[in-house]
Amino acid sequence: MKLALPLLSLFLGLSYLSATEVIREAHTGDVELNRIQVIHFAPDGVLLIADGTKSQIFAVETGDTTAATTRFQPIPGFQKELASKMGVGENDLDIIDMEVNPISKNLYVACFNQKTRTPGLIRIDRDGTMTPVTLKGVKHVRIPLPKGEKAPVSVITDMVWIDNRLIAAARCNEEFASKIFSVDGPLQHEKGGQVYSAETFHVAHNRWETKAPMSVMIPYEEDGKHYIVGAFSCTPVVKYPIDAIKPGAVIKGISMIELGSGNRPLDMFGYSTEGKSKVLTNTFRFHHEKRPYGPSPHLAFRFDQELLSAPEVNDKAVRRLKGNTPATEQIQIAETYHGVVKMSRLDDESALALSETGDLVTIALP
Amino acid sequence: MILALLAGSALLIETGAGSTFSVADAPENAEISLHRIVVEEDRLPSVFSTVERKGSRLILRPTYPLSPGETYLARVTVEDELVASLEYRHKPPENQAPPKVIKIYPGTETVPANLLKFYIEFYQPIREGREIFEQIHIVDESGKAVHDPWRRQELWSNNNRRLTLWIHPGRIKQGVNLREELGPVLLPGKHYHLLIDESLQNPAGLKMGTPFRHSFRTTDERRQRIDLAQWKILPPSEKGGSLTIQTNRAIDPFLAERYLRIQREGKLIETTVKADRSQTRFELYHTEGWASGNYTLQVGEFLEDLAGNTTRRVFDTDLSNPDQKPGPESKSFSLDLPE
Repeated sequence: MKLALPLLSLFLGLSYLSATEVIREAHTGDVELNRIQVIHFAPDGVLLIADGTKSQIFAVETGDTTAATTRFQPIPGFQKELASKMGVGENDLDIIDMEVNPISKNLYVACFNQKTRTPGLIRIDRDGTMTPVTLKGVKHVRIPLPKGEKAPVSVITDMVWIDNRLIAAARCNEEFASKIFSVDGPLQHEKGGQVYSAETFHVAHNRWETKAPMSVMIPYEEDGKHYIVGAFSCTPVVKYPIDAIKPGAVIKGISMIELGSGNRPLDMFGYSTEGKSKVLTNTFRFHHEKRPYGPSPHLAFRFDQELLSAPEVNDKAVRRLKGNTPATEQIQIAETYHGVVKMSRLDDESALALSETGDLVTIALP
Repeated sequence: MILALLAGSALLIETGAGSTFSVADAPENAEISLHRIVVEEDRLPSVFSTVERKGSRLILRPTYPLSPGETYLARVTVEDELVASLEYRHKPPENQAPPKVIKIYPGTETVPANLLKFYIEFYQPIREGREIFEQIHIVDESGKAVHDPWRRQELWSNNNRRLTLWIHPGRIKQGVNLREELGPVLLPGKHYHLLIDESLQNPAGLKMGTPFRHSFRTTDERRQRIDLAQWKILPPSEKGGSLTIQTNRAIDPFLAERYLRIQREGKLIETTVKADRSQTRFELYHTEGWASGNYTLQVGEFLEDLAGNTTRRVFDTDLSNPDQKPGPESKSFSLDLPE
């Protein structure tokens, strides 16, 4: 029997009330950030904040650990309102990432003021109240990323907390390589981890190659074995066994799904509906002008999670299209997610989504 | 200090260091807020701030830095009635020059048609944002811009002065559906220019004003590993001189800075690396000065030529193909210098 415990338990909100500690001996002080590239929640309300430009990840105890009792209220004109509160016009404020706290269901938004070149981190409560997240005098740990010549990381594209360890997809400015950073929990102040190179079978390419950085990833469990599942540009979905991430190893991914060329994944999460586990990933279709799949270049794909444990892999991996026609019912375009720029899973039924028009909306999961 | 007085009110709003706004002798029930002003808009939500009362003084501190060039309105109310207000313009930095390109890499006149990336160096920080991919084009001989050539991931240096711009690898790798559908970005034996729109901005919104062009010509695609056997190592003429590495093809200069490493008797020595315009000639200076002895040049697995080929692999490689054996990553040499 195939299990997907991290995903199923996440739906129950249980994996985020962990039995194991995420942070050991937190340091109290200021969190100094140059940029925020990705945010992600580890258990116990610990917010992971990646700043590859300074080769660092912070794990911050938010203390936001009271379970939600009310629903999140959509915010029309969200981006404009947030920009006003940041003291700048909406065209000068970029929303970098957004993540629902799985316990409190409050939304955390990382943004960037183009004019001042400073990052912001804002908590959006379920009732719509917006509050800057305090990063001064807070309990946290700083995890330095290796700066050595072998693995100079400058960009973190995504992070997951899985099997009591933090894993980040990373890359550097000059190399078009896929790097995976891993550090074991509990996280300790100024205690770093290791960077590994990863190899991937690119289905569309029909070749093994390393030259492709991972865009987004999620945790996944199958037969008691932990994996990370990553999506790449153009758009293979690949799983990597966690136990392969060890010193000296080159981590080989197993390509499971090909969503088609011309798409760049932006966010991805798993969920369960009607007793079935599914995965939703939203993408930017840079082929939109030449070959649109809908009204917007921002579109999402939903696929059945069981495809991640299919026996057919790599060159035989399932493809969404055969020619120009859908090849399987197990991969669908999620039409209600057209125009979604950012998204984060809210609960069993819906996700919070930032629309192209700058509204924060809840959309039922497909 | 700037003072403002609302008609009929005795309250003064003062601005201070760190963009604080304060009111002396504020009634206990007075409230202060700060709003960005936009012409033709109703009052916008208040800017994230902390408000502190020190005795009779009410002090507002914005949580995040105020934005240069924006105008704000500080408002003091008592029981929802406005009793004082102050319009405040946060000055942009003075003597700003428009964005200026100072260097393009590769700076060579010819590049392989499977060129992987450009580096663009600017004189000052440039505004980030996805629009950068709409502002930089590759234009062919007929004056037509190549459709969507870039991999749209922004990669800036920490000071925002250098942009790494990747030509989409999916249009370089043979057999990839992106290349099959759209064709390669660059064709061999053609003239192109890199065109940067005049609309490129600095963080404060100042535009470049005039477009920037960089012309280049393409040669055949290069799909061979870097072969160190083809490189020449020329000794320094004196202790303080430079060791010259002459490569048989242009090498990524930023990766060369990082990965051209010299060992002496197994120990890494400290060097600085300087590339010439052709990116085939690299001068290495030893911080302690060169001495006679046996050395090894180590380039490792990550040094790339302009098409992303390394000593270990061709960029467009098939790792399951046993014919593609990795090449050597080091080369030994001796120096015999006059005492």
